Amino acid sequence: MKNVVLKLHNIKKIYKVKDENILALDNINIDFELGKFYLIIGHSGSGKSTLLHLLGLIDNADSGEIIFNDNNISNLNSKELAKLRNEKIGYIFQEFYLDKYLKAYENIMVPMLINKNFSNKKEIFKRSLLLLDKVGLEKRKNHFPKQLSGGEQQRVCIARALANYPDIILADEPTGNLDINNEKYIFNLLKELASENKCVIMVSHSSDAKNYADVILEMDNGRLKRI
Amino acid sequence: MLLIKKFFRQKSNYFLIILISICFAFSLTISSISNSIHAYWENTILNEIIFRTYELRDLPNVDEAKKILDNISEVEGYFPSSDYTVNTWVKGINSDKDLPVMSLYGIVGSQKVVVGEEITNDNKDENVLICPNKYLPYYSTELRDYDESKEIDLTRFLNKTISLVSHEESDNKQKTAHFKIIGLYEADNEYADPRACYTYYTNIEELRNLFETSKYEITSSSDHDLLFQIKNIVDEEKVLKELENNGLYATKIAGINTQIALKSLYSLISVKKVITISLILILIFITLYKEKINRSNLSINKLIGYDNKNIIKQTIFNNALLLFCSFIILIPLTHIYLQVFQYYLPLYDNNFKDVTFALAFSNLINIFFIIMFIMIILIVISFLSNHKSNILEDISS
Ligand SMILES: Nc1ncnc2c1ncn2[C@@H]1O[C@H](COP(=O)(O)OP(=O)(O)OP(=O)(O)O)[C@@H](O)[C@H]1O
Ligand SMILES: [Mg+2]
Repeated sequence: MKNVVLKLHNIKKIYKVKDENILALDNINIDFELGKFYLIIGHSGSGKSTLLHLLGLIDNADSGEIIFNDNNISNLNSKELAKLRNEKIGYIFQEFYLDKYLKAYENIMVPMLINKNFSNKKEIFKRSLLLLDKVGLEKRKNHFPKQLSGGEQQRVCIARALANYPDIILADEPTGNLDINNEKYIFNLLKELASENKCVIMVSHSSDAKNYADVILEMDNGRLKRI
Repeated sequence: MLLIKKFFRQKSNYFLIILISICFAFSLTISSISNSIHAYWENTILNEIIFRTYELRDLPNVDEAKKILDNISEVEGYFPSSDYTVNTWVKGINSDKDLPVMSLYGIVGSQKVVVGEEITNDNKDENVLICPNKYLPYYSTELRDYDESKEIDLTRFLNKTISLVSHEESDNKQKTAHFKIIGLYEADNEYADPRACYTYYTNIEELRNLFETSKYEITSSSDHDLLFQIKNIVDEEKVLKELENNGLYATKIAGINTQIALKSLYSLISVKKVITISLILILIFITLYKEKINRSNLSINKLIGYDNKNIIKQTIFNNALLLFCSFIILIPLTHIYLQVFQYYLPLYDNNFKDVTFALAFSNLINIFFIIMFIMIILIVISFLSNHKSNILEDISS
């Protein structure tokens, strides 16, 4: 039970659309550990993204508890949640959400600029170059998002997600818009992050993904089971 | 610093800066022109004696009113409304024999000068007269009958000095004063008294002292009226207010409707208002539109861990930068506008001819506050539209 960073206890999420109730998450119980690469698979609409939203602290469960590093997150206010998101969680989406007016390295600097653990701009600048290096884009630091390919943009997103030394990396179909070579690169990168003692949780439809993950979870109609 | 870089990478911001500075420079230009003109008028036209003379009518207690006027430092002086006159004999107008009686009145501006000059601030203390162009003397102070055949054309006496003589039984008691006729009014006017000349009231006072005529010799109903003058037209409001506080209600004896006289100025001012209001509306719409476009960017920032406070700070910074840049550009732009207007406006309207348009500090302050006000509106709008936003909805949109 050591190294548990995130604990879900009896989590339920219900979407109410008009008179209909959609049970998106049905009684989820799971522990996520540092140093492991989790893969979540499942049919479309089974609730994978919903789960990731809860883990990313951008949505609330209707019942149950989320324990983050021994703290119940329901006790936190929006400011504390924002701080947690900033410092502990890196989020990667299928779409590459980058600020189109910022260069690659500047996009990576953004989360660090409000992090009090960084004392000066120079340090932040250096780290953003280091992260670009890590994702193999050191030569593209001055390029704007529209000057980068999809795969390159996603790598910038990953570098940005890593900026504040997060414990948890959440990736929702990160390679959904990428070709096979880029996919391999990204999966390897995420695996490497897990080996650096981060908790990586990825949703993917790719059949290849299984070869990289330590733990495979299947989502089925709001229920989660280990495979 | 990232925010500044980002700001200047957005083309829409340049567009906004140009739009704001052009519109506000126009607005500032019009205010400056208006200010310059009003200042000019207040210093020249509106500050002439006639326009700063007021009447208090039907006073229950004239002495008390005088005391009140004495205590208002902005009041230059007062005198009885209609009877502040002196009758004199005139030498040298007709022939040596005839000395027609002339009534001198102390009310400046009661008649419009058609030839020559008015009595103004500059010449009021000199012995100057405004007289009818056709003068009808009466030959006895008692018998006030017109004799049109004795009409004298005063045109040839314009700018000449005449002698006014006190009416005494014995010649050696006679006193003489010299007055220059500087302007003539139309004697055929309905309300004109063709036997009356006008001078500044202090001259009448002096003349009375010289002629040893008692000051207020006539007691009649007009006893209850007073005329007074204030030193400077800019104090008008203050003085009238103070009188009102004492239960006295003064009316202007003459005025200019500046709204009509400065018609082209006021139409410019309405154009300015329309432009300012449309600019504010345009800015509000652009802000709303930008917020909508910016939503996903904003929610990314929220996702990365920016809380509402960080985001509001960014919004304030962006708007402040926008308006600061506009303000910087606006000042030289206004100077250029002013030059253009300085050249073209007098061609359309003579009222602008002698006025130098200058950018007044007070206008600048005004514009600054308007800009601050707009900034606050814009910030509130972005705040309201962000506050409701939900990361999930925005990210998927
Ligand atoms: N905002 C919402 N309002 C109502 N219902 C929602 C909302 N978001 C998700 N749902 C519903 O919840 C269920 C789970 O959705 P979710 O997005 O988690 O599925 P998913 O497993 O990520 O699917 P996919 O593989 O297609 O991305 C679906 O039935 C979906 O229609
Ligand atoms: Mg999904």
